[in-house]
Amino acid sequence: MSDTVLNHGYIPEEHAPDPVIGHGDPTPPGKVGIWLFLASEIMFFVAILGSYVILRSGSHELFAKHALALSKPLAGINTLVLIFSSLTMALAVDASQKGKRNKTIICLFITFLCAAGFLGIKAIEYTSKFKHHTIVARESANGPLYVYDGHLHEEDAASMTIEGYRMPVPEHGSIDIHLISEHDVMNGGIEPAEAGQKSEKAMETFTIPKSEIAQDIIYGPWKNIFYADYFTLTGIHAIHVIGGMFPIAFLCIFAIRGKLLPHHTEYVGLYWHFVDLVWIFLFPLLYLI
Amino acid sequence: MTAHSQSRMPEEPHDVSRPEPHHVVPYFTIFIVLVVLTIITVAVALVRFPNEIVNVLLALLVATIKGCCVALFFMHLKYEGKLIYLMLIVPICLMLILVFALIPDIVMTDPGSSSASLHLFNAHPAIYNPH
Repeated sequence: MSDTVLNHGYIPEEHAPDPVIGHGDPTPPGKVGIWLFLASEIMFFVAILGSYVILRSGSHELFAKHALALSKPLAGINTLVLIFSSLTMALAVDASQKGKRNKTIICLFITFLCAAGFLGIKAIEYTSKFKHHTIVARESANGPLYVYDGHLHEEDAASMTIEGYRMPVPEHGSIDIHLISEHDVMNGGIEPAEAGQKSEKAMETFTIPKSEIAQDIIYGPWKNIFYADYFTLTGIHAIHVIGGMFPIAFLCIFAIRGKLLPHHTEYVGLYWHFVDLVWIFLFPLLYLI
Repeated sequence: MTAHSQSRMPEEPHDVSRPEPHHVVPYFTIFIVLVVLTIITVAVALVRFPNEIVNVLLALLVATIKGCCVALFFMHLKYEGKLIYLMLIVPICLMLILVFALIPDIVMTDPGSSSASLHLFNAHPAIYNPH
């Protein structure tokens, strides 16, 4: 029984009527199942994208200025990696259906490598965000209070070295380190005299004594709603990528052992293309606009 | 193929249920199209039209074209029967309902409250007393 299911993906007659509407080939129940799953996935992603739209429309400036700090080149490379993996997955399905074992193995393996590469680049992006601090501190005891924003360079028991920008804390009002962005600190750090001369300030290295730190926050999901959205959307997408890597690896192992599973490869392929499709929308929404 | 399953399906040779690719799908052409559209998306984002809504709509338009390419060709939607389309109509309708239901929230956002909440210097003053 299980052997039959593995070989054919479905039992064509006597057990279940073919779900045919109108003319055309019978649709295998497995394909109906994966499409129903994808339909529920569409609703899932639309719901969290809807919350993103609402939050963005309410805090447009916040989203715009914090999106500037995300790495567009890394995300662009990731888009191409995922599109390429979609191509190799489609070729794997095609090869598997034509019974070409070697081509199936190679294509599935490349797809798996692309998925791993995507997650690797994602990990670089996440690590960079978790090293990115906004700190309110004095340079020395009784010195002026500064706002620092930059990436953690070195850290020891007594001090932190930050590579980035700083600006003096404004004399009037107060600041919220949740809302402040790297560009705010960069522009706030420019002296009025030199502001006209150069629009972009070079990064500097600052050593901050830990005893003088008043507030410290990293660019994690708790930084503000933009980063909460960014980590939720990309994190859930990354979990889908991880979830897709397991069946791709299993299919590859089965193919190496000499067993091509054309139906199953097609279903995994549909899921994989859907993961690609979600990223096609996330990329411009989070990084570009 | 076990003897058991053969006895259950005497009329079916082994490879009958193997899904044969009926159509030659231009996978490489679609891949090139997707890469070009990705470059266009990035280019549009770098050029930046003065009107923000134009930027957003252009980015979404290119993303939708790319999504349609993936769904129609990579996911073989172009060659599917009516059943798959029937199953897709439901979430797409629900998606459109949700999007239209969000429009009042987007349009009727009070501009005063949004800019006030974004003002940089409006948090608690504890920051001035680090010690």
